[in-house]
Amino acid sequence: MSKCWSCAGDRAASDPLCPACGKVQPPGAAPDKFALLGLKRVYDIDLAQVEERYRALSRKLHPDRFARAPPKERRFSLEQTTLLNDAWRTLRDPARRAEHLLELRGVKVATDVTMSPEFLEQTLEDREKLMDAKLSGEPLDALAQGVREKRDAAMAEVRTLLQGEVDPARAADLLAKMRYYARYLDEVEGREAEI
Amino acid sequence: MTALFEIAEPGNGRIKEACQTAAVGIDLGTTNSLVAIVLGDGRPQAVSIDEGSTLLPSVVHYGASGEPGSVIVGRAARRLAAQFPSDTIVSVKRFMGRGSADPETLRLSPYKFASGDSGSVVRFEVARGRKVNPVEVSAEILRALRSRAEERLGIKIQQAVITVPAYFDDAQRQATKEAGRLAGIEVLRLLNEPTAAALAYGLDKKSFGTFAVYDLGGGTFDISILKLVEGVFEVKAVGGDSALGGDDFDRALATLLLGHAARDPRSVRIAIDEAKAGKERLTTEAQTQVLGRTLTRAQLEEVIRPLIERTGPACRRALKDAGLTTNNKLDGVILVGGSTRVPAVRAFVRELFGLEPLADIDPDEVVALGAAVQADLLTSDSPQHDVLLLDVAPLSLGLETMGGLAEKLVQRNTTIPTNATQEFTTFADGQTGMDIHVVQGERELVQDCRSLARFTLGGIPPLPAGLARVAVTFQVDADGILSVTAREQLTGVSQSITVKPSHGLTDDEIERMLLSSIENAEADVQARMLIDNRVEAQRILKATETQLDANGDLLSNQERSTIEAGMADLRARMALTDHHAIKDAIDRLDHDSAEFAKRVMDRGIDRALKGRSVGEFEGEVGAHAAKAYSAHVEQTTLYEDK
Amino acid sequence: MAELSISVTTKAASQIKAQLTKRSGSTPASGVRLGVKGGGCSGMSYVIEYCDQPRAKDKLFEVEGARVYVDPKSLIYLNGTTFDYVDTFQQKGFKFVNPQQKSECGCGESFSV
Repeated sequence: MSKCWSCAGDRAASDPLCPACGKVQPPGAAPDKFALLGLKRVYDIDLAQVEERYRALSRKLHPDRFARAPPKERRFSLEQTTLLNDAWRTLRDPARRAEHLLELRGVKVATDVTMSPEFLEQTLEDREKLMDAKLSGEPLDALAQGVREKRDAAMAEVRTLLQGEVDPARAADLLAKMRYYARYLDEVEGREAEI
Repeated sequence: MTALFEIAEPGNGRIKEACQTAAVGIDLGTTNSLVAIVLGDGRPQAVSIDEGSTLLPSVVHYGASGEPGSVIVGRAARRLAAQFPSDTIVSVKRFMGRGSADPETLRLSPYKFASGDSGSVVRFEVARGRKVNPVEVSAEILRALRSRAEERLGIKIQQAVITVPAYFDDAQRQATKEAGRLAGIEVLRLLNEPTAAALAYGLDKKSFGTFAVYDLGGGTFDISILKLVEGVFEVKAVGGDSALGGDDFDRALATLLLGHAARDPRSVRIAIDEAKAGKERLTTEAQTQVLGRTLTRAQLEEVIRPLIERTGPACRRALKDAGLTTNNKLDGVILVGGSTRVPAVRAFVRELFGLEPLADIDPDEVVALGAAVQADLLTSDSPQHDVLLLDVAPLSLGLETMGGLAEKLVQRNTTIPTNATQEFTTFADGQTGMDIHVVQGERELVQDCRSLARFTLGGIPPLPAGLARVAVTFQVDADGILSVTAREQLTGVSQSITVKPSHGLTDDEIERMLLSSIENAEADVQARMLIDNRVEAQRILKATETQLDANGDLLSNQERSTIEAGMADLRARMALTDHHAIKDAIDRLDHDSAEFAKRVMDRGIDRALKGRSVGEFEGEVGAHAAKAYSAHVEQTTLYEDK
Repeated sequence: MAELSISVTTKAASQIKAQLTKRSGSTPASGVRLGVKGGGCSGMSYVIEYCDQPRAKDKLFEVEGARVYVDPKSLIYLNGTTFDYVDTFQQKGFKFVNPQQKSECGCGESFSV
């Protein structure tokens, strides 16, 4: 339990606003992005519902609501809104959400993973196809679809993984793959936008 | 609307001067600038400020006398542009936050630029060899907007929300804020122009859904995708080109018109002005005469087509960033900016988005109207509209890493405020300092991005390479302005800066500007007092007049003529520029009419006590009578019982 | 003539009591004073102040233990007014609902009758 700086009432460390007096609070040390949005620490979340909560909280915490407040409250509002934006950005992305769950469980996922030679070969092949397709002007849909399927498979595996005892190496490998797929798809869609 | 009140300690219950000071929305545009305000009925309204128009041309003329008052802004300045091309700055917004070596500076233009280091800020050389930078020129426009709106509305303006193109980078935003400060305006927020436009639209139509705002102004192009849900305006993506607009149409046309003719500042200015007028006529006509030759709409369209098409990729990328395709789930396209009046632009937008664009609100005013709504939101006890804007960072922010690569810490289109931290290590044994180079842009190489700032973190303990760890944190606030903190993790040595743009003003320049504004401060104070007193004079005259009409019978002939003489004197003095003279006349009239005001008030109470409703003496206790009465008793006490 | 009066809502009453309790220097006789004074752009403004020492001619309205004093001159302008407290998501504060009020200035701080 923490105390409100204004009314000294009890509040949970993750409460951005004091439940008693409604004043904005300074953020805690290691914030739980799930708790900030009022969620349990689970992988499967209802994104539409989370988005609604994000908007409702933004209404209360955004610096525009504190334009005439004392400097202290303005600072807290900026810090809390920064965290809120970060929490929503993390939770809406499956790879980042999984990574944050692992982080909360104390599993440190390495980001500089050495990928298997097979995977690296596959990525090289994907890239070449993308380049060729771009040069010849052929549609990129089929390429993107293949990668999307692989990404979905990796995501399903992450979901299973999170249900039991986590092997950090396996988790790191899966997350690295998900990041790669996301970047690849970004690039495909980006190319489409440039055309 | 009804104001809400707080309980005050006895004697502290002051009348808030809320009515006499107001926050406005300002659209500081490339071609025209506007000021708008939300009035009691909740509707934003643009203020007429230049020869009866709500548009103040963003043109500043520096007169040859160099005296105070020789700076002219607006239509009057525009009329001088052809005659004094290099002393008259048009479209200064294009130069905000730009360096003297920027491509913008080197384009077709009639100005003389003061020589300077390649990295330094642009300076125009105007009459009498005076050198002014874009921030100072913009501050002149803001001063004109402010004082004209004050005179028009009869209120003081101290705070404003100023709009900027969504695609403005950090240097351009900082320069805009600086201009506001120089003009003596507290800048409440920098608001992105397309967001402001959406705000004005969203309020009117109670819209829900996803909208594109296609904003092609005089000097900038912005595309924004916004989602509107229950009063929350969430910007999903922005894109654009901060150096593309209707001015480029004029310039392209002028280049065609000039052909091989000799180019001097004057002929260039005339060609550009004629091109602009011709372009405007071709909005409704099929052909027109420009500089003695016939120009058809088809010819115009051929010249500007490549420019219009440059807006396409940014639109597609913004849609993609927002998770949409060109015609997937977009509920509407809003047109903003005078250049969207050009038929070829409308046709392009219609084709690109597959939707008939919306243009019900005047595309010239819509941005200022939205800014006024935001100003009301930020300053009012009980804002007229309960909405919230969630905006994004327009460009990625990063750091230079080994090999001249840009490492992005904040991705473009991240909702702000936001922060990001990245750790770096030393690369040499015993390294005690680290250079931090902050860049903005989407490209991989630092040299292709915009350099925002460089600073050095010193005091790192000498350790083997890779052991010292420096955490660099970026914090972007709700205005989209960046501050950077670097902290060595072992010793806790830290350094924090609000980014000073590399291409912005140097400390010397800021010092010079502040000094010169102090030199001008006396003149500014005089001007301010003059406005204040004229406004006050208008009020007291009107109130006294009302009371004379309604309750003149309370006065003896002599009393009446004393008051009328005081009024005549005040009216005569209002035309003077000596604010002391006006103030003296106000005080005298105030004093001479105090007894009258007291009698009016007593009559009202008397009638009420005789059982007549207060409504029957409506108007009897008018503004000034009541004011004079309370001033006569004591400003801050309540009515004493008899 | 009919007795002039104002009404105070229970929400306003409990808010007055709460604020009086929090304030140092309040006595059991303390209340708030509502008044009208000249000024503001539409001619008159409402005022709310703490009141520890009522004046002889003040009229007292007591609602659920909250004391509200109004001086006789102000009462003429406030006659029929409902004094309320608003606490919504967007705004918080006391409110005068005055049937005599004819117009308000843009900011709502002042009015005319």
